[in-house]
Amino acid sequence: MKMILNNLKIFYLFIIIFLFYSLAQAGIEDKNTISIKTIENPLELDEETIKAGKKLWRKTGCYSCHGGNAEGGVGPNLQDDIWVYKPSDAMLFKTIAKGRKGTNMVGWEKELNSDEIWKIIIFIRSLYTGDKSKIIW
Amino acid sequence: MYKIIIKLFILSILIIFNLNIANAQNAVTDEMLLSAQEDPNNWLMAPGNYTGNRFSKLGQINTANVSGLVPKWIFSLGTLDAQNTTPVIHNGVMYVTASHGRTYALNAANGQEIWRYFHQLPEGVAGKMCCDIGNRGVALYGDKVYVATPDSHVVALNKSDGSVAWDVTIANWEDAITMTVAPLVVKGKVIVGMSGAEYPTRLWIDALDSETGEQVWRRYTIPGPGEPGHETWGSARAAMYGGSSAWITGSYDPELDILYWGVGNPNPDWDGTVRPGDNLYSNSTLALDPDTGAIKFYFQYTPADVWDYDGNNEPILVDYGDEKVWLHGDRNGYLYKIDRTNGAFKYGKEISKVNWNTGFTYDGRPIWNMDKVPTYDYEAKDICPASEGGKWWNPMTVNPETGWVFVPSREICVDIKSAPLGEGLNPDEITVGKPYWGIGTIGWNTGYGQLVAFDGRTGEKMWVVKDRSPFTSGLLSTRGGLLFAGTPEGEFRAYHQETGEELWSFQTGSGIFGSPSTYTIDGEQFVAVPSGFGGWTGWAIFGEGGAPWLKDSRKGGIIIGFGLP
Repeated sequence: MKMILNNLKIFYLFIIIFLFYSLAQAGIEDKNTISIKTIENPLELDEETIKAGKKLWRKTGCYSCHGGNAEGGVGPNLQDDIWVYKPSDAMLFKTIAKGRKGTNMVGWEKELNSDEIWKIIIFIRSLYTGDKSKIIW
Repeated sequence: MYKIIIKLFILSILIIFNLNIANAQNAVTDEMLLSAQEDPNNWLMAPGNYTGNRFSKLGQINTANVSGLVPKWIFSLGTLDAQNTTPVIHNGVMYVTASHGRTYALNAANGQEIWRYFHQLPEGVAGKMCCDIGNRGVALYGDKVYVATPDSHVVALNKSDGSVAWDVTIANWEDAITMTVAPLVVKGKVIVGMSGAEYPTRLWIDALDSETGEQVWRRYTIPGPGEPGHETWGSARAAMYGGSSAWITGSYDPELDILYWGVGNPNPDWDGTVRPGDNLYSNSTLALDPDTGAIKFYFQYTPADVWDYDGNNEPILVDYGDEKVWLHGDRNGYLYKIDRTNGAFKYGKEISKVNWNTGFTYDGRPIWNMDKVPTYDYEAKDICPASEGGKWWNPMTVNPETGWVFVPSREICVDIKSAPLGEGLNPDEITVGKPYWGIGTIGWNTGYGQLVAFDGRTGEKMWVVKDRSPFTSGLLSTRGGLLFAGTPEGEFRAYHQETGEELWSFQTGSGIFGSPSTYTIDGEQFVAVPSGFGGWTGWAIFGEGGAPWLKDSRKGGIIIGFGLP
């Protein structure tokens, strides 16, 4: 009897864990939020993607703060190798999607899907003028 | 028992009476606002007084002793980003805003916090503001403090404890109609103007009842269909999306009973092709009836603007004998003198190098230099001044006792090519809430900063002081013969008004983009200044960069109270 009860406890524990996991996944997949599963940009740095990223840069109004070619302005310069956090793909994706607390950078995940964010990151990468040895993407 | 009841009754009457006296002593009345220039112990509104001259009759700190000026206290504003405020002071209490519209009351003698109001902002509002999330200060009236917030609320706070008396929503911030203005109270009405001309918007000036927040009148800065001036936009669509912001605090003449308020650039900023005409009332000062908002007359500085000469800078009211004028330093590079009884042009004098026009018609209309007009096919090179002037938004000061005007300025020029939708920096289509600048390419050319003094009567230039960077603070002049000015590199300086000689300087740690004010506590004069780099500073680094050394400037957020040892 005791063994059955223990097995039931384990069974219920699994059920609870499964429910929590399902709820968490449902939250992540909400239409207004983007999960940050991919840590590397799935897109290639090619002319077509750069062009698409530039178009999104204009459409979203990124230039208003960062400049037409990411020279900086209200927001920081994104061309150079001076970054507060290491500019990995994952960091850039998270910053664009979720915003950066304590700064004017707001999250754009309500306007941009994952593919569009990756395209903008490709556009930013194409503008890089910093030390090539510091490239980590 | 009967006696106790009588004693309690008398006591309660006395308490109520005393409270009323205390409230009355702490109240800011119309009479006080009207005579603010004569009360140098306080600084009752962001521009100092209704003329907007930012001049103080205090002279305890003067040319002879300013070299000894020291910081007496420092207050952290708790935020970074543009600190654009002017500290306002009444009865020893300083009311000051930080970026994000946060509002504080401080002991003006030692900087200790008395209360705070943190307006809770919606997530995303900073993404709808072109030029940082600054705030230019508060207004005082009665027992209340008024602040406009980035999400387009106007909030009345109880002066004693910062609790909210009322909170009204003026616009939908998601349409990129936002607020950074310091309100002005005139005849019991709280006057505010909107920001957002870098987006497809149609903006306005509002008057709100100071007791309730209820709208008394609204003056759109672009005439609607059927109204005179609507035709100056070429199409209804252009007019409805023509921006024309109003985020600089205006001035008020009680004798003429006229409210003067500036209007900014048309949208899109750099493309005039889509809005053929003069684009009224962009780049104008409006003379308004403060009771109704009706336009009595106006003066337009830059009709059909294609340079983003955002003309909403302050009009300062000055009397030269019987001559009643306003002085206005425009981004288009000119210092204007305008008859404030009828809007007639008196003069336009170069603050900085100007080449976008070749002169004026008799009535002050600029005559274009076509070599400096950018189009879709033509990049106009080295247009002077660049879009920030001349004189940027930071307020100048006038000493009404000498008639001299002091202008924070710069010598920076720009290359511009405009572009239609889908080209250059422009989106493929106009979307409400998204920036639209009409720009193809733009690049600022490296220049320098300057302070310029004029005799306002004639427009004669009296002296020029050059500096590496543009002067980005508002200015303060005093009876002590001093002129206070700040730089984006953090230097807060005092100059001799007569000669421009630098007499004192203090490094505040971050760029100065707000304005100083002065007051006394128990007979001791203080000068307070905000420090905190920010605002739309693309001019410093786009292209060659107007001042490329300002790239990645350190942000900050403090108020410093200076006094004599």
